[in-house]
Amino acid sequence: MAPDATHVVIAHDGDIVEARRKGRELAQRIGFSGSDLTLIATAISEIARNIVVYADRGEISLSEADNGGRRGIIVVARDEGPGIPDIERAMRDGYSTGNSLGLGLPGARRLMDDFEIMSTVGQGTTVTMRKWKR
Amino acid sequence: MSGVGVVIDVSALDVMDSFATRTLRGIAQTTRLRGTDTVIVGIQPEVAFSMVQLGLTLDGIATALDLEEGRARLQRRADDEASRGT
Repeated sequence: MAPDATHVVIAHDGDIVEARRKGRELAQRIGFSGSDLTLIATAISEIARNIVVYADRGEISLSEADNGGRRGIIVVARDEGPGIPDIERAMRDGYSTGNSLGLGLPGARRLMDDFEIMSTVGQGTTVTMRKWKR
Repeated sequence: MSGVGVVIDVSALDVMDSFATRTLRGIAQTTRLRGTDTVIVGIQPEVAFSMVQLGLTLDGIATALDLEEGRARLQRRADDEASRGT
């Protein structure tokens, strides 16, 4: 993680708003504009909501990415919650154990360019998402 | 004129995620059970684009561009029902 990452503790509904506000701010500084800012903020909102609903608390880190001159934003969401037993299923549209629409994880993946998820039952979940400037 | 429907203006929202969508659907379904229609108005262009990418729909819920259009829509529906005598 880059040393200049912004960290937002996620434990309550209000923290979700804070995370997407900071994400939008950073994305704007990186040079994203218009609809990309909304896509990034929405993806952050989805994974932050997942932390509140499934893990109670966690953290979202926001930082700038540089891939050989191509700039982007990295969003990492970490929690030490129950973990996801079946990631393949959780990534499928419409699947939810939490009485939601089941679009959070697959939806966030569609909004961003790169999406990785690592989860260990009983230990927690880490989601890493990146979006690159066009 | 009283009680022809509910208009929810979401123009202040910079994000409509699946949670917000589910909440709106719940409100619309609840008011429908109480015999009242709901119209969602003011979804911002970027927000609409993002909702489509995310796969979110407001199935069965009326939407309109802004408050005026939303009110007009509810009024038309109320007038239609009145003329049919329902």
